[in-house]
Amino acid sequence: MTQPHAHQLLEIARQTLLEQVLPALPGELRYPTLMIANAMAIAARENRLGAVLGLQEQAHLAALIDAPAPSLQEARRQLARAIRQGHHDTPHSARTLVETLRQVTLDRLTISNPKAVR
Amino acid sequence: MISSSTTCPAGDMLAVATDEQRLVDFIREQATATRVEIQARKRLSGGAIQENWLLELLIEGGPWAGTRRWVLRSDALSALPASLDRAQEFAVLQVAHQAGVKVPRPLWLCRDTQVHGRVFFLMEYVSGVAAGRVLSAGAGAQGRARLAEQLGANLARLHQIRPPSAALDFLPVPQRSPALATVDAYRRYLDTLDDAYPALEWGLRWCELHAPRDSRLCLLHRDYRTGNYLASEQGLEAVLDWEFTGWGDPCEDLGWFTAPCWRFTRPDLEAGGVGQLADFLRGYHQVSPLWVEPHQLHYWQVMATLRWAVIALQQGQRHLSGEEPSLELALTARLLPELELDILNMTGADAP
Repeated sequence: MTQPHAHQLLEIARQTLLEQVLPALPGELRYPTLMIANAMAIAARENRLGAVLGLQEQAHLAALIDAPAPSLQEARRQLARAIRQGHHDTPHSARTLVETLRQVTLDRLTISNPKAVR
Repeated sequence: MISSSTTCPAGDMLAVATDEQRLVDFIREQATATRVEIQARKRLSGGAIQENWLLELLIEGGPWAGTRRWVLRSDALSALPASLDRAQEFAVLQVAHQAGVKVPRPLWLCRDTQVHGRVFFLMEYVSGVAAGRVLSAGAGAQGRARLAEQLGANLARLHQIRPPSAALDFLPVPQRSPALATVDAYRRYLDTLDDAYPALEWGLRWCELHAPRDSRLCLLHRDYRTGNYLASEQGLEAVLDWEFTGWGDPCEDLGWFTAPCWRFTRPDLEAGGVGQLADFLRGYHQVSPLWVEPHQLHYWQVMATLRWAVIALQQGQRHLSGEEPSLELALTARLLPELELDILNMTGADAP
């Protein structure tokens, strides 16, 4: 692939937006501009981390479902169905489930909002 | 619509003028005035779902003579599922106003779409700060006790309204547990989506297993939170955004107001990021005899977080479907992991 990569382009584009464009904009455009910068930051992090975190999530979820799932989407679907049917109600099973889902969610937060990881 | 304003500005100006004349005629008739002039109109912020316009009016003759600042509230291009239309919201506003809830005084409803293009109503303009970040950032170390107390008392006044109500006959009355009905509704919504959400499914299962056995029905605001009321130095001025009102368990509104996801910059201030829980509940209990147990509040905070998660998904769908392309809607959908984490933290092994 041609370098710089997508996330590197997004990062420098965001930096240019915030450092050079934003100061020259009227006040009412500040909020939309910060939203644009936020969207670019999320997209850059997803481009950088998304594939690895997707595989990690699939491995985490595989430990919670009965049949092997061909894709992450399918693993989520199987787990969601089992939860709804009450297969994770016992205290032990619920604890494992919540701990695993917490880990997966914390990983996804490193993409959508790293500041919320606490 | 947008293209006509760029290719044919003269025609668009004419359309605005005709629109304005019809609106002026409508106000003149309703206010039994001899003459009405719109001196200024300004789009108000905060309407992801509705359009709100501030009208500065000069009215001659009749009981409303003088300069008036009124708000025109109309439907936006696309609505969220489960939200009331403007005619229904107007009826709710009237009922709440009569019950002594602090709201902008409702004036008139206009169903004739010839007047403004969409159904709208007029209400009095109330000034104050609504922005959640501003209110929570300025709440001080201990929070604003008086504001929290007023918010509690005001909500309790709303909760005095019980079904049935002839004026609100369009609101369905839950036939069984409101909590379980809500769980069902969210599951049905999730089933319409391509992706599955295990953390939300767990939250729903937890709410199913812990559902309250009995609950009293009353009128709920269903979006009673910081960001949806106006406050001044004096305290609460008016509660806004009545489009989600319905019959349900009073603790639902209490959970929504106090949930972690609605505390903005002050996660330590349980009463909407602006005050302490004790102050809020004291205000509530001054008006309502209903005693709220901590586990009830916790339950409905979980439900509140689930609901916000479902709404975030719906906002994302509005963008993704092409119905209303919007960066703000798109980013709202990206709040989901934060809400999922809140749900997991509230329902895990350490949860009360």
